Amino acid sequence: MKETTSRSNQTDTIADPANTLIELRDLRKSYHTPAGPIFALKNINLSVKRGEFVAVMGKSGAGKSTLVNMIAGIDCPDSGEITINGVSIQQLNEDERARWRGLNMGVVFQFFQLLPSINLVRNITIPMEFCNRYTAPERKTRALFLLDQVGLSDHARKKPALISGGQQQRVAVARALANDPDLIIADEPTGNLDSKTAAEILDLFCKLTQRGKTVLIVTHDKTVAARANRVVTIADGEIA
Amino acid sequence: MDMGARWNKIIHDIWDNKSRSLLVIFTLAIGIAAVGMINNAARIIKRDLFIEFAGTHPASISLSISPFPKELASSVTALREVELAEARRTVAAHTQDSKAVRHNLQMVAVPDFKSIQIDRVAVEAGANEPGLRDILLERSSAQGLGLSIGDMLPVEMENGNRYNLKITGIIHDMSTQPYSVSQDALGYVSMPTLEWMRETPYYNTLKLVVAEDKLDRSHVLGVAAFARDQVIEPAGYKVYAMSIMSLDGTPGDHWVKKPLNGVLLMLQIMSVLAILLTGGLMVNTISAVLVQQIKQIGIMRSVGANRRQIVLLYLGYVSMLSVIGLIIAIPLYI
Repeated sequence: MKETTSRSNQTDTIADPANTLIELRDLRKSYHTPAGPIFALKNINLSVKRGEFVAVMGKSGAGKSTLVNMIAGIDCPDSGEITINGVSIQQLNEDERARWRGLNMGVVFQFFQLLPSINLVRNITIPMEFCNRYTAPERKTRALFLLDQVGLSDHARKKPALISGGQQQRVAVARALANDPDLIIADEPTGNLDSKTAAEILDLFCKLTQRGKTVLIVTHDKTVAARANRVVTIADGEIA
Repeated sequence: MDMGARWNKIIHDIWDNKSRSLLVIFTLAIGIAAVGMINNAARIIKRDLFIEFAGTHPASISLSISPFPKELASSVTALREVELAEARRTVAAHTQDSKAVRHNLQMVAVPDFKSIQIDRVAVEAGANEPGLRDILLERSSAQGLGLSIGDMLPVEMENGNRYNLKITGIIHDMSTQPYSVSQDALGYVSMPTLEWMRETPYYNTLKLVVAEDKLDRSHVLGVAAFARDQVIEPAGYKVYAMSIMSLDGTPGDHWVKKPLNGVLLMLQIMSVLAILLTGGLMVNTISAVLVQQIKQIGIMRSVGANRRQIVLLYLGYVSMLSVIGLIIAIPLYI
């Protein structure tokens, strides 16, 4: 396994159980097509410590999104183990993984993926409702707090269509923090943004890691990867 | 009051797609209203028509007999198997409507118009009983002939004699087919009026109500035959015919009951089909909504929603549309 770092502090590749948030062991995933099986992930081993800002880089089709889907519990590996915060998520059923994901992980997508028919506050409170966290008044208060953290409290009552792409992505980050998860996963979060807005989003992620959150970002952009503590490169389903 | 983001989403999903929501709501409303109206109509018809008809104490069977005195009815009533018997005189004649078109006219005379116990008639307007040279016209006949109280009804007897009877009242007789169906007019006259019209004062029809098993056709026919054999014919009178006044021969049933039940059944089936079609449209629309919202479902799953929560969310969406449709439909069929 080859990992490159963009910062001076080198990560320890030997997993420290107490400090390890994500542990992937011998992960394999293949997809069956009429042309034969495609091995999306081949024998992946990876550890991510708490508070790390990790960028997963690779060309298109390398397996980045597949790896992130495994970590996020959206898909299941053919074999191997995925342990996040001490929980083997591949042993959970689909509904258990969804709930676990809501409570323990925040996901930020490339195209923001806010619910278009409800306003920004409700976009942030909805994960809290699904996971039954906080009381109703607390949810609203927390949503407004998070919007303020990302600088959008003035737009709280607006629907997503009425704000810019960059603002929507900031709301998506706020939504990812709704249930105060330890882990934030972002799949090409700046792929649809201009460079200035992208930098603002990355600043947000850096702030989150300073607050003890772990951020795993998938990107093909080297300038984005340069902001991470550690870069993991995937090629042909293997960590290069 | 904070409704929650989920209910907020449902309301906004409905509001933001007004045309689709309105289509579903009005389809639901029409389907529900159709079922409600048809079933309501059936209930009202059964209540108003059939129950009201039962209140007229309908005859189990009617016997056509050679001329007999009214006392024969008392003799038949004395039979244990017979609850009540009443004598009537029916006279066939003709009349004309306002356009001078000839119609059959049946005139009926009873011993005491105010005390009819079998196939009771209801006086709707005018005199409580027919006077001399007067006639109480059945309401459908009056409407069909274009006549009202105070008008003169031209009557032509079978022997060609013509008379004019004054219409002094309008009655409703549920035991016979209305003029609109049979095109035969019906009126009640007094026996003195028939005598004035040179008819011999006798009775020729005996209406019977059996004491038990009123709906059992074979029993009713048996009782009538018993009355014929034990009382009527031994007294010297001839029974020409015995008839049960319903289309399927069920004693005591309104003549229109069977065909009306058939029509109502068809309407109820059609209302069920309307509901099924409504349901089909709902399923189609909800499927389209789900396909359109697959991405949103994925987003909700990614932020922690389980399958049950997603299902309940969209059931809530359907329920809200259904409630709105119901609110519109209820006033339509009340």
